[in-house]
Parts: sequence; structure tokens; C-alpha cells
Amino acid sequence: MITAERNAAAVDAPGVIDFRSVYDEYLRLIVGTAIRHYRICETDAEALAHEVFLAYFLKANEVLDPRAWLLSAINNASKYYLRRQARQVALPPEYEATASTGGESLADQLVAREIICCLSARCQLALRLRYVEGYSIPELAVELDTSAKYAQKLVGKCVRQAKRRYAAKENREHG
Amino acid sequence: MLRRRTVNTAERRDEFLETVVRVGAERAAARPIIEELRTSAEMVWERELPHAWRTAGFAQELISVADEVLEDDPRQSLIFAQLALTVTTSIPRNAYPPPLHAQLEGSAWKQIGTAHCYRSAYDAALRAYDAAERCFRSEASLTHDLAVNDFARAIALSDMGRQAEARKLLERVVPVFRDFGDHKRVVKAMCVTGVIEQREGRFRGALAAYESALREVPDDDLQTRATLDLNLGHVKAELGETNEAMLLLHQALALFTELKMTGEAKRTEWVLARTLLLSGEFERAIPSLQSTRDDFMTRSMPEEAGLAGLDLAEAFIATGKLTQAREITESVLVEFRAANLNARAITALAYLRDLPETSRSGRAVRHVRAYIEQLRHEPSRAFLPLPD
Repeated sequence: MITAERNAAAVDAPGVIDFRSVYDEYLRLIVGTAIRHYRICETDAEALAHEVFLAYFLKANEVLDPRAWLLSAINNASKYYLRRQARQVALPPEYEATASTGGESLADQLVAREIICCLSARCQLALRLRYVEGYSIPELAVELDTSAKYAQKLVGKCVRQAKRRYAAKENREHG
Repeated sequence: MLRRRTVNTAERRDEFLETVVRVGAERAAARPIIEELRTSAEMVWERELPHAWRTAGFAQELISVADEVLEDDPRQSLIFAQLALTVTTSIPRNAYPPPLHAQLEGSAWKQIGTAHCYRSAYDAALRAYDAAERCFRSEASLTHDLAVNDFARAIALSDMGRQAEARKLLERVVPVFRDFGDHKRVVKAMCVTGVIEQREGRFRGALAAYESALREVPDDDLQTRATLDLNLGHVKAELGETNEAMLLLHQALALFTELKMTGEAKRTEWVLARTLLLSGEFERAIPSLQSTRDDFMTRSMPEEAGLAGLDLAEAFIATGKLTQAREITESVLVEFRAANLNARAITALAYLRDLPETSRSGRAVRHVRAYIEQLRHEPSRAFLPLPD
């Protein structure tokens, strides 16, 4: 019986598709669709079209009918855009000035990201699954094809590795 | 999320074309490195990822290789997909236009899910598909990826016996595939509908679904044609139409062999051998079942190897080779324990091992085999011995 959804297109490397021609041939059509059918302003319609082309690029080898694919993609992207717009409510002006920019947490996120990227690949994966995706230790063990005991030990080792590297980074930066 | 930027059409066009060229070059650079990793992927994990690897092209190439080796080596496929995920985590957020990042990360997760499915680790698969969904939902332009991910999830749910949920997802994704002109997946979805019918015991319904899918399958889609032949053969065997079943299964085997899909070819050989069992040709079934079982063992697929082992035990019992039947049952029990598979399956196998050699042994093997298959869908189902 059929056993899996295969990502068949990913097997073939791109190369035979002339992306320039596809872009030039369909840009007007898909931007026009977003403007006419969804009343999206031209600037945003162009930005949406651009994102649709980028999405098309990674899957181009499995697309038999670029026109149908791009049109359907812009229709869906436009609906998504409108749903988002409908949900967004502007803050009253008196709150806008005091609204948090989230600057500190962004800085923290950047540091965390930088540290994670300095770890061994195994630690990167383990910490990401454990702390970003919220995997339990038994789930982590299944993912890493190991025992729960080893998974627990690995997380501990990786946290220590992260601490060491963070301390080294601090030392470098502050003399 | 849509990023409003003050760029004009020409700049966007340039950015798109630059991305195409850049990622293409990164993939080309990644290919020889990843080719080497095929024999040494384990070693990569202990070191920091080289900066040159932290590219979209590298991640994309890893996902491709993970897909390519899925059939032959699901474990290695999982490792490559996890490495792809790690690479996407390491890519600086602003290195590429945003939809690419989400699309790559989602694709890595989806590939992880599919590799887990191949290894019958369905809970892990569903978790990975959830993560993929979060990535695909974060961007306006990834509706097709989202539908493909849901399709993969539907297949996993059906494998787990959650047919109603699988059917519901299929109903949702088929119109999306039609809109996108993705005819291949429309046909595959019809095929999965047939599988669901089959699993629910509605063989005539399954037959109708497969036959209508076969009428729509494009001439160049040999993989789906082969899958449909296999599934049709399977159903015909269940309906007792053995000659037609054998013909279809041999067709499927030839196509899978031609496509170098060794895993599917082996599964087809397994169905052929089971068809021989159903038609009472036990001696002919034995060598094929033995080779199928060995192959699953090599691929680290203990559950499938165990089921093939029980088929073999049934054939041995039917031909009076009771010692071999006992030996193979004992081996399956040891393998299930070593692979830490469901404890209930181990209990059922132990029951089989302790059963006296009587004329009921064949029935008992079939009973335990059916139970172990059901466990894949209902992991907490209790084992009941055969009534006296």
C-alpha cells in the first residue's frame, strides 16, 4: 500500500527551469489578480507576488502547470493577507508612543540564537527540540533514536556546553 | 507575514533572480560534501557546523538526499533530515527572503515526519508534521506546502488506524491540489482513499477507488502506477481473485524494480508471498518470505521483519516444519524485545512461543499476527489468546 508522501521534486536539482521567463511571463497576471480580485493595493500585491515566486522557486520541479500553480498561490496568499489585515487593529495614538518595542527580548533571542549556533550539531538539535519545540525527554529519545537516560544526559551536557560558550563570549566582549 | 518595503518591481525581480542563482550555486557546492556525508553522517554531529554549510542550498540538498535514501535507509533519511533542520536553525534570519526560510524549515520537518513514518514511529511523525505546519502557516505563500504536509499527515493517520481523521484531511487537501494543478497528488489522494476503504474492510470500495485512480494516472507517473498495481493486487488477493492479483503484483514489482525503489519492490514481494500463502502454496512462499524478512532486518524495520517472520512461521507450520516455526517465532520475540517494541506484542509472541505444537498452531500464528498489526493502530489494545 502507499506508504508515504514523497517529496519527489526535491530529488531533482533545479537548473532546467528558466525562472526569469516564468517571472516575466506571469508577474503582471498574479499582481493583477491580487489587485482586481482582492482589492489589495499595488505595493502589497507586488510584495505578495514576490513571495509567491519565492515559494514557487523551491518547488518548481514538481510544478507541471506554472500558471495554475502561481494563480492558486496568489489567490491563497491574498486571502491570507486579507484575514491578517482584518485581525489587525491599530493601537490608539496615546498607546503607540509607549508600546514596548520588545527590544530586550529580541536582543536576548539574538544572543540565544548566536550561542545555539556555536554548539555542536547534536547539541543544537537536542536543545532546539527540548527548549524550542518543547519535546519531553522520552520524545527526544525517540527523535534521536536513543534511550531516555542518554537523552537526559545529552541535554545536560549540551546546556553545560552552551554555558561555557556563553561565558567565553562574555569574556571576549568584556575583556 | 507580508513585509512592506519600499522597493520597486525591478528590485524585487532582481532579488528573486539573485536568490535563484545563489541557492543554485549553494546546492552545487553542497553536493560533493553531502555525497561524502552519506558514509560519515554520524561524525558530523559532534562538531560545530562549518559556516559554509549554513546556506539554504545546503539545507535543500540535504532534504533532497533524505528523500532519496528514504526507501533504502529510513534511519539515514531521518539523520539527513535532522541535519537539514539543524542547518536551517543555523542560517541567520536575514540571510534570505523570509518565505524561503520558513519553507525550508517546514520541508525539513516534513521529511523528518516521513522518515519516522517509514520506521513506524507515528507519534514522532505527527509531532514533526505539526512543527512543519507551524512553519508553513507562518507565510502567506506556502498554502501548497501546507496541503502537502496535511496529505503526509493523512497517510500517517491512516497507517495508525485513524481512518476518519485521515479521510477528513484528504477531503480538505484534494481541492487544494486541484486548484494548484497538482494532478499527481490528486491521483495519489484517490489511492490513499482506496487504502482507507481497504483498511476498513470495504474491498469493493477500495477496488473502485484504485481503478478510478488508475484511469487518471498520467502516463509518465510510473511510481503511482506501480503503487496502484500493488494495491489492486493486494485487494484482489483478499477477494480471492488470485490469478489477477498475481498478474498485477508482478507488474508492480517490475515497475518498482525499474524505478530502483527497492523498499517498495520488497513490500510487493511480501504481498506476492502472502498471496501464495492465501492460495495454499506454502513451499513457494517460504524463500520469498525469508528474503523479505532479511531485507527488513537490514533496513532496521523490526516490526515489518517480525510480521514477515510470523508469515514464515505460518508457512513452516503448514508444511509440518514445526521446529523452524518455533525458531523463527523465538527470533521475532528476541528482536521485538531488543527494539523495545510494544510490550503487548511481546506478550502475544511469548504466548505463541509457549503454545504446544498442535494443529491449532497455524491459527494461533495468524491470530497473533493480526493482533500485532492491529497494535500499530491501537497500541493499548489488550491481547486475548485464541478461545479453546
